[in-house]
Amino acid sequence: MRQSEIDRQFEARLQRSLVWFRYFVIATLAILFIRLFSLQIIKKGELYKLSEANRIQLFFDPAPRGIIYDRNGKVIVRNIGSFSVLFSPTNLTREETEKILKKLGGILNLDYHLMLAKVRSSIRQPLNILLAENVPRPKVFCLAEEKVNLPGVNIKVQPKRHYLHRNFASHLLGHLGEIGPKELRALSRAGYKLGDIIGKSGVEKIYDNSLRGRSGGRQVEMDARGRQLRIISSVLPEEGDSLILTLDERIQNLCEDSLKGKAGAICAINPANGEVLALVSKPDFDPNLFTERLTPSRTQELFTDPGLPMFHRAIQSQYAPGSLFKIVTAIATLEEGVITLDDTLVCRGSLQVGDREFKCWKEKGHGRLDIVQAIAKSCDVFFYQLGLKVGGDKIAKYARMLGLAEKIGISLPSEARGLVPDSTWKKINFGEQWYPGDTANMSIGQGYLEVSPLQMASLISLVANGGVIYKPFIVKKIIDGQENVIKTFQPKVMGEVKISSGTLSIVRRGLREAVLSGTSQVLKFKRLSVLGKTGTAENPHGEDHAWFVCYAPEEAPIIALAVLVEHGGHGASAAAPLARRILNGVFTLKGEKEPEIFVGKNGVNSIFSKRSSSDLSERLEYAH
Amino acid sequence: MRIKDISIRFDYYLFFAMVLLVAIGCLMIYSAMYGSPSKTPLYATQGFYALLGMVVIIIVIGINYQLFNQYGKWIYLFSLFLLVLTLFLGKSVHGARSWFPIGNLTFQAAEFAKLGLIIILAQYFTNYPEAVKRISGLIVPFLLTLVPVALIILQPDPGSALVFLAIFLAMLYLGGARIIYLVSFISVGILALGIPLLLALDSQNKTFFPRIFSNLSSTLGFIIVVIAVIGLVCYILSRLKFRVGVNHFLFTSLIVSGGIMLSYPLDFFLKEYQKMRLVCFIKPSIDPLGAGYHIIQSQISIGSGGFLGKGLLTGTQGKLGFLPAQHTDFIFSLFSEEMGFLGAGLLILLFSILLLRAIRIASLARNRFGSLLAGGIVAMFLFQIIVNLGMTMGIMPVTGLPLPFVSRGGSSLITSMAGVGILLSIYSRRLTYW
Repeated sequence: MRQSEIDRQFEARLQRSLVWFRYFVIATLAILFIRLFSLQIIKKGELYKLSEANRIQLFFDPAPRGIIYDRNGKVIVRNIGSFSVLFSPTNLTREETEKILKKLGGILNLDYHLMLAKVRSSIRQPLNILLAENVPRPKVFCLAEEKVNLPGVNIKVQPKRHYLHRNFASHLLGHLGEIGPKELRALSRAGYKLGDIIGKSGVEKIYDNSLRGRSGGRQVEMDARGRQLRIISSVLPEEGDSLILTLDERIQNLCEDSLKGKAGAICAINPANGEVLALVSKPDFDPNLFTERLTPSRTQELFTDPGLPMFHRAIQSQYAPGSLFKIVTAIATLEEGVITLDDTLVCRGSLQVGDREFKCWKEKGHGRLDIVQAIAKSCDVFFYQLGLKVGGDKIAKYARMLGLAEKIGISLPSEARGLVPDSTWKKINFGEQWYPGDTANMSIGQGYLEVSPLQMASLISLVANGGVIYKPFIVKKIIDGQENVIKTFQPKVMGEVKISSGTLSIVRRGLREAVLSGTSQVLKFKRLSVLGKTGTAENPHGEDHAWFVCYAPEEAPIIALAVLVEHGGHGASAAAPLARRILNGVFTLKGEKEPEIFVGKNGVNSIFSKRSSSDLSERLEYAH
Repeated sequence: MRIKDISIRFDYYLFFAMVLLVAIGCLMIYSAMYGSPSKTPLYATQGFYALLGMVVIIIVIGINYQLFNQYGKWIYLFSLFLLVLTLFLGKSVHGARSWFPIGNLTFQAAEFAKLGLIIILAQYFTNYPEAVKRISGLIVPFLLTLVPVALIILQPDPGSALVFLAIFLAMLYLGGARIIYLVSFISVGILALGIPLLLALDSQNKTFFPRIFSNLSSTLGFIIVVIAVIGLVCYILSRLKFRVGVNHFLFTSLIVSGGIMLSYPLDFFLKEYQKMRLVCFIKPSIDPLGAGYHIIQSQISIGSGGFLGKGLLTGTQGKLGFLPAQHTDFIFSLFSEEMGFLGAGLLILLFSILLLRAIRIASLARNRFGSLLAGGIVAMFLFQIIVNLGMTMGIMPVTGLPLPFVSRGGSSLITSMAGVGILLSIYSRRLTYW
């Protein structure tokens, strides 16, 4: 009886334990059930996306960028097939992988350990690891022959930007690069994505949207080992639109050759419409360097080079205009009626202004001069007097009217503004009043003035075309892959300066006289009448900068030039000869012969005879 | 016994829940291996084991479970003998020597040993019902558990060893041990496992605790400090008229120092990847492509199935190989991906039926031995289910325990089915004395 009592106690205790045990089972299973619900019902969307991301890989096929032609249809920039070696070590053992890499290293002269490290680092996604790019053709053939012994090695052809003439017009054309985080943020709406190659400067940047086309892509189903199972969908890449520039390859070449080995810039503009015929900045760079993904260090050097090869001097540099500014002073004073053609002034080699003596570049002095001769001989004392008569602020006002201290609006990034000082400006920046000495300095283009070569080209164009400031433009037409014209760019007038014909003709006479008997006699041709002006920008830090502007021919101007040679010295000796060489080339195309003007049906139509060999000549109208 | 008797004395719910689970297992093994070439299809092998399991069930139902009470000692010793044999003759798979060869087949002695332990513990707690009230009475069952655990850790297969500890704890509870003893065992376990984990989490020994435990002398110093603190607390409590005696102080100190000292051999036996699994469970982001990968991919598989699932044989995670071990440890993830919440919910429901019916059998059993036996079997199932499902759903660390009845593996399946056979045997004899 007692034993059974104890048994009953134990039995009751066991039954109680079993009740709690049952609750425990129910509770844990409920937790599992709730977790299941949370995963499969609540978090389903998110986890489903992750499973799709596991399974589907996107491969982008970059679109070939549009081709860039010069005005005559010559190809300047195009794409070439570039061979990349990709490696997908799926289904390969470690020994096999190492064997293959050793073999590859032998054929391609690549460092085995470097490749191995690259493969190791992407071991979870062992897919299309880029081992080499721009592999030369013979090596590609070698690889193709060895294909059986190189499983997992793929050769991919991708369009690669090719700048045919290397450094040719490098600043104007620009360079490419991988999209940066800042650009990505700004452009992600426009369909740009991480890893895209975009234009970083020049035309490549400004017209990137037209040039880039639309990249195609494939949605590929892959398994966990990275094997491609099937293509779910694919879109073919759309080729980018091509550009026809206003640039003339031959003029550009002439300009580049004449500046070879120097630092400086040359702008050549058609004064009748603002077309940029040539735009040179030296030193320059080879944009092809930027198309290689594996060697970024070489391009880094370009940005740190003390010679500033990436700096686009033609539009970004700012120097004092020197005597070129006398054109502005002359226009201002003539328009203001301070001087007429009949008035003369005397130069004795120097002029006392306030307590300072301002010298003429010719110590003996020019004697008695009229304005035409003053421009031609670039007499400083004459212009001091003119300037003092009209006042600094008036000159500044005219300078601004004529387009200085303002971006002209060329379709290139980072154009410089320049600077035209006046009394208010000086008050704000120096807290000083404007002295007559400042006026004297300004009237011969020294002092605080800053201008870019492009602005000087625009200034001389304005003189050539009678007062119109055209927007300098670089792209004439955008055409698509089927050669349909998508957009034609028309000349655009940025401003029209009212200058009386009397003033214009006096200034022109002065510039012509400069070539015939004055400072610019280097430009004297028998059958081509050139109008030009030399300039020397004083440089307190070293050798002066040499300027020269000119246009030709006199009767129907088709080219306006601005030449700047950094640290070149005098304009007449350092810059003007370059202009001669260029004009000589432009108007004859050959050697030392005197220039000839080609006159077409509609007057002076083109600077070149129609023997242009052109890739596009048949469908492109030659001249605008 | 007439056929009619059997039909009354047969738990259909339990049996058919099990049959459905086994069928789901075969189907998912078929799905997991679908499209991959193999000589004998694994689902057919599993089907063969299921049939074998059925034969075992029929035999076990025929045996009166009370015979286990008589021969329990021999069954237990035989299972230990097999474990020892496995250590010497075993075939090594994935670095663990846990497969005992029988002809062409292999057999996991550890699975059989689980039943052996359940039987011997049930026998002990039946024969010495009062022993559990004293600490000294717990030493025998603890040693009975420790021997197979040690043999299995030597293989090494610590995941399976955990099942033995779970069985021990559950049967201790059902056997009537005081809750404080259970808590003590769990505390020692947490300390012993927690310290190697801490060391693995901060392998540079930058923070305070890992630095203490990185060498023996500072650890001993730490233990002394802790014991002093415990003593002080006990003293203050006793002064405040709480009923705290010297035995409490000794008991607590023993648990703390025992747990810490036990962590040394554990740290030694746990392999680096096993520690990483535990660390990754706490912080999966620590290694998303290594040990954390399984945890993440399994959850993606389950979640992406949604309500209706992606359809049999069309789950992308499983078919494209993102899901690891999909016919064994992660078979539930595969099932959930392809059959959705509907299927996976049903599976949990089937397990609930199985477990709750089994507990019902435990409470209906004719005698104490039957109840404890049934309770032990429930504990074995429950622990493996919780750990496996919890692991696939990211709420338990990856331990590599199979899902009973469902995961591929003959030994696990036959052992589980034998367990069901024992349950049915207990149920059918609930109304008879013998």
